[in-house]
Amino acid sequence: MLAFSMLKLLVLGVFSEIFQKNRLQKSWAVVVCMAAATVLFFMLTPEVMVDGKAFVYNWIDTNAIRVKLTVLPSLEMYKLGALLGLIALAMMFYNCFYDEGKMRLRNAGLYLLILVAMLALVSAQNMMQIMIALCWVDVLCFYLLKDSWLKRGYMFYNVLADMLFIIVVALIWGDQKSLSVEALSRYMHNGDNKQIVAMFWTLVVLLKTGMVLFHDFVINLKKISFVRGIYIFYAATPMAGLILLWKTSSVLESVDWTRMVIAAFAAGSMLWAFVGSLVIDNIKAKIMYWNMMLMGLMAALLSLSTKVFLDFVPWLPWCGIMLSAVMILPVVAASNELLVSKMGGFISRLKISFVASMLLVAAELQVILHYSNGTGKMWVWGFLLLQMLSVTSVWRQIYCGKTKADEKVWALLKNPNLLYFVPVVLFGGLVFSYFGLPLKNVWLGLALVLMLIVANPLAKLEQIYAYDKIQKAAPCSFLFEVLLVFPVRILGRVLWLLIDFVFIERTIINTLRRLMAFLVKTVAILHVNMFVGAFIFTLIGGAILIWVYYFNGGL
Amino acid sequence: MQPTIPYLLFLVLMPLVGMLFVMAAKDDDKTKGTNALKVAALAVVADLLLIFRIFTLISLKYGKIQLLEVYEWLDNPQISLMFGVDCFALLLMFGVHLAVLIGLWGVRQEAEEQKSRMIFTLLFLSMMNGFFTAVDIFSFFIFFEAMLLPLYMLVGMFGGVRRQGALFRFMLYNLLGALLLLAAILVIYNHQGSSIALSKISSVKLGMASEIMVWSSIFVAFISRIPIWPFHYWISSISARVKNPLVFIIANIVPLTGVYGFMRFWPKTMPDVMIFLVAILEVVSVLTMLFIALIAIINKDIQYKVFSFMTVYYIFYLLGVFLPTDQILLNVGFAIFAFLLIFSALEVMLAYMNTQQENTNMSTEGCLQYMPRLSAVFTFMVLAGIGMPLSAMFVNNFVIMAGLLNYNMITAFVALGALILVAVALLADLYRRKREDNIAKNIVSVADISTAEAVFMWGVALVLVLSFVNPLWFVRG
Repeated sequence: MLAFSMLKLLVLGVFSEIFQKNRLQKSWAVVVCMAAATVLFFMLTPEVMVDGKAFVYNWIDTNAIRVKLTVLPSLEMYKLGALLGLIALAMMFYNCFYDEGKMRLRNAGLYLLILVAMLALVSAQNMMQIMIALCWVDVLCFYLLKDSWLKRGYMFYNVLADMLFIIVVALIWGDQKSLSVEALSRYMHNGDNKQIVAMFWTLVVLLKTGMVLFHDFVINLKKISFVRGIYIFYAATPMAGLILLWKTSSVLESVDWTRMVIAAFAAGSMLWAFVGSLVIDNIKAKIMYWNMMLMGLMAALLSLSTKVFLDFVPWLPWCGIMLSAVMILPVVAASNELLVSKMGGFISRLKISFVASMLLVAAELQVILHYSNGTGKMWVWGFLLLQMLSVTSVWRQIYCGKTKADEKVWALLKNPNLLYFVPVVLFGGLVFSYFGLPLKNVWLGLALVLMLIVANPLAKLEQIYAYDKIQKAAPCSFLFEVLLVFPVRILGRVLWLLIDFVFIERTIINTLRRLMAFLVKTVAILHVNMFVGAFIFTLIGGAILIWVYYFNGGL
Repeated sequence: MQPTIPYLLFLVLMPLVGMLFVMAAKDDDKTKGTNALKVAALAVVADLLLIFRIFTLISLKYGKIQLLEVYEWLDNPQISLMFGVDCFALLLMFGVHLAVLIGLWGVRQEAEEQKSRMIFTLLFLSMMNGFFTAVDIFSFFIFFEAMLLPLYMLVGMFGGVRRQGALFRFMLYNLLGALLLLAAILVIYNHQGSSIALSKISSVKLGMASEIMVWSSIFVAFISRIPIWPFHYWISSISARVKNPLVFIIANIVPLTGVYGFMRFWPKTMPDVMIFLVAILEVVSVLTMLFIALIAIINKDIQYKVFSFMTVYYIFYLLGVFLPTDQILLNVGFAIFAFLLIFSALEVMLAYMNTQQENTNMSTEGCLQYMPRLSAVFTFMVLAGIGMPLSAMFVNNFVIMAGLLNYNMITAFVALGALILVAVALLADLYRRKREDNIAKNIVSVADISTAEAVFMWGVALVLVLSFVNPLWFVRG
């Protein structure tokens, strides 16, 4: 049963987290990876994922709220489950060999836990399950990210998105008294505040998918290890945003402008990523920009049709991952040199890496051309054009021309070991066995790509790498600081000074304190000064007598 | 019918008996207060066991007062102590006991004045139990005020160098509240000729002037306990000065009494005179939430951030209490239970960090880099605190939020804005403590939490996760 397999993965993940071993890290990580592979081998079959038994758990059943947790096999579950499961497995495998020594087992556990949360998200039939799965992915990613600045950005965007989504769900639940995904659809037809819901929902999707203006956390994934960065991108949050968009796409059908906004942001993301990948020197940042470009394409396709998205889903993220993998080959070969400006002329030493890159291009073209005549073909062609222009210009900078590499780097330059090429070869083999041998257009495309590598005018933009200000610029962070953080801080400080100090401390508290001091002083005078005291006490006594006599009907 | 075993009386007396034992405990240079601490912890655990037992005896529905016990006190005026519980009160008591237990864990290394601290802690716990189990106005009033005595002593003893100011504000606000509540109770007593059950107060028919006087007094009395502007000042003052985690926890449990008071006194079908007050309260509440959350963003003092976190959530739960439905009150209880545990654990861990910082001259920035065990559990607590699905706060906050959105969308949005701001403030502090740049390389003597401490803290985290799965897990298995 699917739910049982997910439980096994969960237990395995928890086991890896609890029993972190300092000794024999690699062996333990391999054991966990093999165990996960076994579970996934039996799980990722049509019998389990499509025709398997559904699991329903009556989680909360009170007068106030009812929630059922579901794990429902379906074709979509199969497609997305296979994608996420295989990415997790691949990254766990590479984590055994190429991640930080002390964190291998911990990372493996987190990969598995994130996988379970993502599967729960994919199979969710109600919005509470979607919310919980989204939040758990964020929490687990928070532990997986090790860079504090990255954590800051990641958590800010995602907590904001989570809270906005909670408002969306709360509004719908308050009106429909149901948390099912169908309730969202019903609400979007006749709900009182459907425009507000649509607005928040759009913002959640944009934040979660890391579209332009909200993309800082996505690009900052460059700061962590390659394996973790790619895993988070394609199997955690930006992907979770895409799945959210798919699961709640009824909003797109009911409120027209949401489709336009998402398409506009998708186009903006692709263009921004195109520019970013050309002007930023760091190759890991370039990789994240290309991934952002792909995320823009997937969001655009999804905003057009869920069907075309689901057709593409098993393949597009793999194209992104494989492109990232071949782009990291020269980095590994050049003793982890990350700056393209310190490469060049590598083709003489890295012929196999270059051939692997071309194999990937052929495979990607085969996939994309297969789907390029359906809905959203303009998007697909636009994406392909931007991506190839950008990628070929970088390949030209890396592989062609005169080398700018350090002498030591050049001396040690050689193709990475076989393990780096395995995924690309496997992917190529899988694509050509699934779609058939390369189409005529693929060869044509490949020739064009080679031509572009030889003579891409955009490669001249490498001069921009020398401008430090551009390399370090973070315009969105700056905007966010100026437009949001700064005013909030100023407002907080003004309120604090004005209300707490001036009004309460200086006015109320001080007045009361002085009043009390005055009373104490008066009483002291009454007791010390016998004559004044006797006079005042006599007056008070007289006043009491008069009050009792006149107002209480005599003594 | 009176139950054969007076469980609720035992619940109130148990900490008092523990207090007597603490008084008799040996406290010298050799024991350094450990005897007192152990006896206090034992008393709290015994009380917890009693709470578990009571949970098995009662129906798990909100508002159904059970296990009623009546003890005659005075003939003239006729005053009796009446105890009874429902699931909600018991859940809060459970949360308070666990919070105090976490606080005791936090001060177990402190030798100075340990005996006094334990005495007043147990006295406070006893009064809290009395407060939560009181079902008539006089019993309620007695415990409502009596709990201030141990708190006053604790703040006086452990309130830092500028405690006079904090104590002055504490007395000022609470005295005002006490006098007003006494006046309201006297008017009701005078009208009825006897004490009256809390649930019946709203059905008492008074004249217009008396009604205004009584409800306004009750309103101000409870509000003086909750850090709603301008009454927030006493608790913020204490929170900023008290560095002892146990005292901080106890001081910050006090606003819970205001929320609980409103819950017990305030009728769901409001007399006309109160509609105006509730409207004022609503506006002032959300503005206070926003105000405190904004200050939390700019204030670098983590004690203030924790205070802000608590204040914003207390007011949020108060807004939940004021919703015109009884259905979500148990959800408020579940959320408060998790909330008490989270803030207590956070406070204890922060105190540990402060100690390490003082011992090693370590800066706050990046301090968690030296303490990976503490870092993992602290991160968990912060994430649970900001409302991630790691504790009962998640689902139950959602239910309250939905209720608020249904009731008044603007109020709900402002409240949510405050919740987001306070979450950002807590996360910002977490990053500050976790950042790896700017950390000194030469600090070697920083001690991470021990295995036992890590197990204890992860145990608290486990309780929170269980409360997420099922808030009454300990009753239904």
